[in-house]
Amino acid sequence: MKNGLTIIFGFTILSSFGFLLTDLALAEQPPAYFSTSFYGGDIAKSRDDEKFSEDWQLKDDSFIGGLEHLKLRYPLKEGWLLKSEIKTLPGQRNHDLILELSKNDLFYARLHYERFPHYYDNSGGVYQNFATPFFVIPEEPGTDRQNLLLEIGLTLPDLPIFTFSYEKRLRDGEISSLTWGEATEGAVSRMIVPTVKEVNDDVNIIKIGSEYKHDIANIEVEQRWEFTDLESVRTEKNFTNGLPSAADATVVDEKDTYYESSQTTVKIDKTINKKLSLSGGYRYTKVDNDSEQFVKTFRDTGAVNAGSRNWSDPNSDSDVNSHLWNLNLLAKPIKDLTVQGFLRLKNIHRDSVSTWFDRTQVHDITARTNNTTFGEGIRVAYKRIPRIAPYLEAEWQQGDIEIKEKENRTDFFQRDTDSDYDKQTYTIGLSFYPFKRFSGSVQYRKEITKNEYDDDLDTESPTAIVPGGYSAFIDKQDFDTDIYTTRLTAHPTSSVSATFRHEYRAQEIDSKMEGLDRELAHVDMQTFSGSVIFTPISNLFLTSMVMRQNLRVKTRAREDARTPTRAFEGDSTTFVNTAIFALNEKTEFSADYQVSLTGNHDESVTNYAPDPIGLPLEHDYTMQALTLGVKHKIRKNMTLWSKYSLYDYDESHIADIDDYTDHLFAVGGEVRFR
Amino acid sequence: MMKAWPYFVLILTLGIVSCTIYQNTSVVPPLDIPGAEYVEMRMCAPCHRERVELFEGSTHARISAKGMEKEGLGCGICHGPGSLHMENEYEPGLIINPGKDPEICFRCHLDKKAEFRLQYHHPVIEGLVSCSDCHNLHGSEARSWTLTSFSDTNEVCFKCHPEQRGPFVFEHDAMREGCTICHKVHGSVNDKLLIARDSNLCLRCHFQTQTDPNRFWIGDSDHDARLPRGSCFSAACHTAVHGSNFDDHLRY
Repeated sequence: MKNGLTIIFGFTILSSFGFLLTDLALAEQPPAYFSTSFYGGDIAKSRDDEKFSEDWQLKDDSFIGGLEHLKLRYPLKEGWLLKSEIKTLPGQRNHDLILELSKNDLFYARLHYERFPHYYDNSGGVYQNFATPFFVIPEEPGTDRQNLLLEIGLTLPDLPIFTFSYEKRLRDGEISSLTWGEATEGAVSRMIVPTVKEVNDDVNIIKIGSEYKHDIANIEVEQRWEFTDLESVRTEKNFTNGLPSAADATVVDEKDTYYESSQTTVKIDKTINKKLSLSGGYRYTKVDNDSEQFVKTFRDTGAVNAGSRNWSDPNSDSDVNSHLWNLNLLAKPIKDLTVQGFLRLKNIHRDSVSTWFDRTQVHDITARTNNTTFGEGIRVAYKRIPRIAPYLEAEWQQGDIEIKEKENRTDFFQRDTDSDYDKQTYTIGLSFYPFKRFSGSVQYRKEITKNEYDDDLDTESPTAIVPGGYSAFIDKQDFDTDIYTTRLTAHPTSSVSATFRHEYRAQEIDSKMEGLDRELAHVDMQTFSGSVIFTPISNLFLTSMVMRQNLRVKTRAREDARTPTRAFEGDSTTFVNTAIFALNEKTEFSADYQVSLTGNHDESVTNYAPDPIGLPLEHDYTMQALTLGVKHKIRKNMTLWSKYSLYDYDESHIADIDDYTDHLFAVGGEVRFR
Repeated sequence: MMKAWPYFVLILTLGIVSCTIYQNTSVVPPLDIPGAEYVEMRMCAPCHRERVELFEGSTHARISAKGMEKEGLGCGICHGPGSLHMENEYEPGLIINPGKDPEICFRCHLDKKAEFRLQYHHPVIEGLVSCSDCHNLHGSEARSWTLTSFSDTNEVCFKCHPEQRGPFVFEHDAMREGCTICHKVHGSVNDKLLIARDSNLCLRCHFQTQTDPNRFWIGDSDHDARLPRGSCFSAACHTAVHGSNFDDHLRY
C-alpha cells in the first residue's frame, strides 16, 4: 500500500508539471497563478546523529532539499477551477500534495496526500556517576507517517450538498522508549535501559455526509465508519557495558488490536430571528474492539523461559455504545450583549471480556462500564463599553460511572465500583484598549474536579495497609486548578512594539484513601514571556523574545524522610531573536538565533541520593541554532536565496552522549507567474 | 567547524556584490501586508459567512472589542489587514493564512513559540504539524473538550495517537481528566512531552500515607525498591499506562 501511495504521488507530480507546461502558457485569464520555490543543500555533521534528528526532524545523512512548494491556481473553462500545492523533499522523505478540482454549482474533488518521518533519539538519558556513553541502542528509531484523503462533494444549486470521503492514515517504524533491564558498567548495575517499540498503524475512515440549507432549518447528517489495525512489539532486554546482552532473558510484548466503529451524526441549526439562534444534534457511536496480546520471555538460546510472563491464547473483545445529545443557544437580548447556553448529555455503555493463559491458569475477565455525563454551560460577552470587552464563562458537568469487574480463577476478584464526578470551570476575563497604542487582557480561570469512588464490592482481602484491599484504591480525589493570565501589548512609537505575557498555573490534587490521611500534591507552573519588535531605520527589522518557565511537581513524598523521591523541577529559558536588513530593494540579509537552556538535572538527581540507582535523567542542556541568510531578487518574480545554519547541542554530562554540532548550507529560489 | 568556512565566504561575497547596487529601501516585517488596511468584520461576511458567524462564539472573539476592528481587532487579528485582499481576492500574498504559518499565532501566544523550541516538542516549527491540526480557530470547537462540541476530551490527540484511544477492558481514570493531566502537549523538557520525568508524575494521584517506617506502600504493595529505579511506566511495570485489556494493574 505504501509503495502504491508513493507511485500515485510521483505520477501526480509529473502530471501536474506536464499540465503546467502545456496549459499555463495558454492561460490568459488574470486569476491564474503559479509559484514555486526550491532549494538544495547539505548537512555537515558531528557526533550524535539521532539526537540531532529528534531535535530538528532532519536526517543529516541525506540530501536536504527539493521542491519546497509549488502552488497553482488555474481556471480552466468557465466555472472550472484547478488548485494544486506540492512539496517534495525526497532526501527527507517529506512530501505533500493537494489537488483540487471544482466546478461552480456542480461538484468539487480534493486529494491530499502527505508523507513525513518522525525521528527519535536512541539514547535513554544518563545515570548519575556513569562515565562511559554506553547508554545507547544500536537502532535509529523513527516512524514514517503517510496520510491520504480523498473527498468528493456534489454542490448542485437548491439541493442538499452530498460529500464522500476516504481517509487512510499509516504509521510504521520504531519509537524510542525506556524499559526494565539491567544496564551494567563494570561492577555497577542499573535497572532501566533504552529500547524501541515497533509500531504499525493502519487507520481507514470512510465518511458520507449531506448538508441541506432550508428556510425552516439547516440540517447536516454524517455517517462515518472507521477500520483500524494497530500492531506494536516492545522488547525488554539487558545491556552490559553499553551493548545489548544476549546472555539474558528477553521479554517480548506484542499487541495486535483491530477495531471497527460506526458513527451517525445529525446536526440541526436554526436562526429564529436576529436575536436568537438554536443548534443541536445527536451522535450515536458503536465500537467493536478485538485485540490479542502476546507476552513471551525467551532465554538466550531462543527457548521460552518459564514463569508467568508467557501468555497463551490472549483475546479481548470490547463493545461500546455511546449516545450524545447536544443543544446550543445563542441569544442577543440587548445590543452588544451575547449570551450562549449549552446542554450536553452523553451515555457510554461498554461490555468487555478478555481471556488468557499464563502457563498456570486461565484468566477469564468480564468488565462492564456505564458512564452518564450531563453538562451545562453559559458564556456571556458584553461589548457595549468603549474600549473594554468583558466576558464570563461557566461550565458544569455531573457524571456517574458504574464499573463491574470480575475475574474467574483460583484467587478470583470481583469489584463493583460506583463513582461520581463533578467538574466545574469558571472563567472571567477582560480585554482592554485604554488608549491607542496600548492593549491588554487579563483572565482568571478556575477548574474544579471532584471524584468519588464508592467501593460497593471488593473481594480482594483487606490488608493492614489498605483496608479496601485494591491496590492504589482511592476513595476521593479532588483537582483544584487556578490559572491567571495577563497579556499587555504596547506600540509606544511606530517603530517599536512590545508584548508581555504571564501565566501562572497552580494545581492541587487532594487524594483520600480508605483508612488513611488525605494527601496533597501540587503542580505549579509559572511562565513569563516577552517580545520586542524594533524597526530603528526603515530597512532594519529586529525582533527578540524570551520565555522563562518554572515547573514544579511536588508530591507528599518530598517531606517524607522515608521516601526515595523529591519534587521534580523542569525549568527552562528560551530566547528567539531575528534580524532582517534590506540592503536595497533587491537584497536582504537575515539572521536568526535561538537558544534553549534547562537546569533541572542538578535538583532532580538528588532524588536518588545517596544511592543513585534511579531513573536515567536528562542532563542540563543548551540547545542553540544560528541561521544566516541572504535573499536577492533577480527579477520582479524571481528570487534567489542562500542560507547557513549552525545547530549545537551541549549537555552537562562528561560523556557528552547526546552532543552534536551540525552545519546546514542551502541555496534556493522562488519563481512566481500570473 | 572547518566545513562552515566556504559557506561564510559565499554569503560574504553575495553581500559585497549586493553592496555595489546599494540604494535606500524599506524592509517588510514578516506577516505585514504593505499598503493594506484593516477592515470591519462585516466586510468579510459576503465570502466567508460561515466563518464570521462561527467566530462570534469562539475563544478568539473575546479579544475583539466594539469599534476596534479597523485597528486590527476583528478578522485582522490573525489574517492581517484585508483591504487589498478584498480588491483582488485571487491575488496571493494579500491575506495571511495562519494555518500555514504558526508565526501569526505566536504573536500573541509567545509562550507556545518558545515551548516548541524545547528539546521535546510537536514538530510545528518544522512544518510537519500546524496549529490548526489540533485547534479549530474560528468556531467554538477551538476548545473541543467543551460543552459546545461533539468531540470529547482527548479526541484531537487520538487522531494521530490511536493506540491510546482504547476502549480498554481496564481503563486508567486519569484519561478522563484529559491527556494534559500528564502531558505538556506543546513542548517539554521531558521525553514523551511529560510534565515530570520521574515517579512524581504518578505519585500526584497515587501517593498514600505511609504506615511502615521501613517500606514505601502504594496500595498493598511495597514499592520501596522499585520507585527509585524509574518512573512507574518506564520500569516496565505499569507499561500499559493508558489502559490494558488483560491486566487490572495496567502492567501489560
